Amino acid sequence: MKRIIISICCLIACISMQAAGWGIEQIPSPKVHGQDYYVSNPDGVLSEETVQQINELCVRLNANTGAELAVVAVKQFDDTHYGPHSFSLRLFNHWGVGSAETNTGVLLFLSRDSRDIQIITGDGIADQLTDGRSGHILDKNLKYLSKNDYDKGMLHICMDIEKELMKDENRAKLLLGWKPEEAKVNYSTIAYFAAGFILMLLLAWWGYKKMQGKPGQKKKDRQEEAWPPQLVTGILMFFFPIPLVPFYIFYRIQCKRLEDIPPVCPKCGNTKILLSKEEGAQYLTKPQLNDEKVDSFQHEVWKCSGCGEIEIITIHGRNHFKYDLCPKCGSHAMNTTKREVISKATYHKNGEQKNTRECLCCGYKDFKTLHLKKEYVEIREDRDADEFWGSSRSSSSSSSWSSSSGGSWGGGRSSGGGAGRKF
Amino acid sequence: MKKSTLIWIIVIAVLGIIVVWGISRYNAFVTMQENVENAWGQVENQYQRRADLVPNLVATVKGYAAHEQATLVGVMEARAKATQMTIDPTNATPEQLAQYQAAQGELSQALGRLMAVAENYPDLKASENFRQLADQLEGTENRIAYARNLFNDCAKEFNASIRRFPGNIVAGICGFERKPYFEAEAGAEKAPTVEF
Repeated sequence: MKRIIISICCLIACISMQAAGWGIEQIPSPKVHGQDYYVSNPDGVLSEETVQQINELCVRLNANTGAELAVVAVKQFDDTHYGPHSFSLRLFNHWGVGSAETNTGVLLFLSRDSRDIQIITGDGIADQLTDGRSGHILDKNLKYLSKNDYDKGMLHICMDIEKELMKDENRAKLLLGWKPEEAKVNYSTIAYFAAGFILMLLLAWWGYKKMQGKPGQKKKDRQEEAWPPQLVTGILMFFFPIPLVPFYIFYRIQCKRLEDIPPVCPKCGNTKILLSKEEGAQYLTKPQLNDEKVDSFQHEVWKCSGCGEIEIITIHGRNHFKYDLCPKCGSHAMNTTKREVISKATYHKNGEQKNTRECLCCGYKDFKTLHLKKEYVEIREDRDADEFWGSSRSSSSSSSWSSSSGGSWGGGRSSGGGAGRKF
Repeated sequence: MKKSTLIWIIVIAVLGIIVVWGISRYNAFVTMQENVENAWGQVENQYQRRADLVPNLVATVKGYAAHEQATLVGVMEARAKATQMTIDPTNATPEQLAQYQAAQGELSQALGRLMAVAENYPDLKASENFRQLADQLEGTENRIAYARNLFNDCAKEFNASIRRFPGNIVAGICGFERKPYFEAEAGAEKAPTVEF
């Protein structure tokens, strides 16, 4: 329902805007229909036959000279900010008529009610189709336009433009073109990469040294000290992935090897041995054994070979985040079995959710209440209307909507050459 | 990990971020400044193009309207004055730009008078050569207007950037200054044209 209302409003807006005159962005680009379409005739000022003839001419011209001739005929353009020359010049640059390398584009613009006819020439064609010659062509055909014979007038102007550009000396120059500038080697990027790489090497060396640790340092302490350089190295890897990923893997392998250095007992200085699961189990409490069973925690039991001191190190298991602490038996084996939403969160108040938890070891059950956060209203542009109209109106600004059969202008620019007349 | 080590790491990281940001702003300013200077080059190009048209135009008019010595001489003098004045875009002041604009404006006025004079000579108006030159002139005036517009746009973008906070700190340290604008001239909206 909202869609329909917005679409109707857009339609009214478009119609009312047309009453004031076509804006630059509103004039539909002929390229939406395909690469071989050069004429934009949204108000039907020209007859279908004329449009077809001019189209054929433009295709021929493009094949013979590489120039793109765009033809636009409207009832009235929006002249509140721009005169006919400024308007058509901006339309030329908005569409990008003419190839980007050679800039051999021409725009012929007719505004019927304001009686303006304008030629805009691209920078690369201004020497062949000079301002003077453009004016001359317009003068020759002004008689048709003043008698309101737009079809004949526009067709003959296009024919004269073609004749001018097909003259041998002009055509040769147009087809010449020039090569685009060669891409320069960007030294600053190389410098950034080199600096990043060196920085990473330094950080890696620092991390490695920390992992080696001092004699007598526990593995946990060593890892604790090593994480900052390791973290920064990991982050840097995102910026320079290609050279640094294999390097980082190599670095981690080296660190893993270091981890195998057996820790040393602080009291007597002898190495500590890691006890196997069965041997170490005798030193663990019941809750800890339960944790190992459900894999929320794992324990390493180290025994000193000299003085027999026992040290237990706790590591997160695979299910660490899944199971909570059971208040009854003390093991981390509380599983959330049921999640029930009591009241949904709205824009105005929080919601509530009741979770049922059950301990896998002792069977204790309890309930946990969660608050669901208020929802926030997201303000997004409604793109539906554009989508709906894009396909039928084929506006020039929705270039992403041109289907696979659509074409595009070459991306040329004009700095304002050409001539204009009032008829 | 000692607390002091962590603090040092954070301090260095923050300084690093500030430096990187500062470098990126500086580079952005340099790019925009280059755009302004490029746009200025375009404006000068178009003014030069107009100046190049003038001798041809004067010669053509002289062929039909030799008595209009005063107007013709006036145009040539204004042209000489306009081509003599050049500005260095890297440190142009608003006063310099205003002077440049005034010199070009005088040439515009002289050309306007010449075109008005041409109205009185139907033979001249009918001459193909003159019509083409008049079209060239109008075309050049259009290009000048457009180039000035583009220059003003580039200058506006640059000026706004270097004045916004916190970019203005970087701009101040590195010495970026505001660029002047082309002011709209009274009556400059209408380029000198000839009604045929």
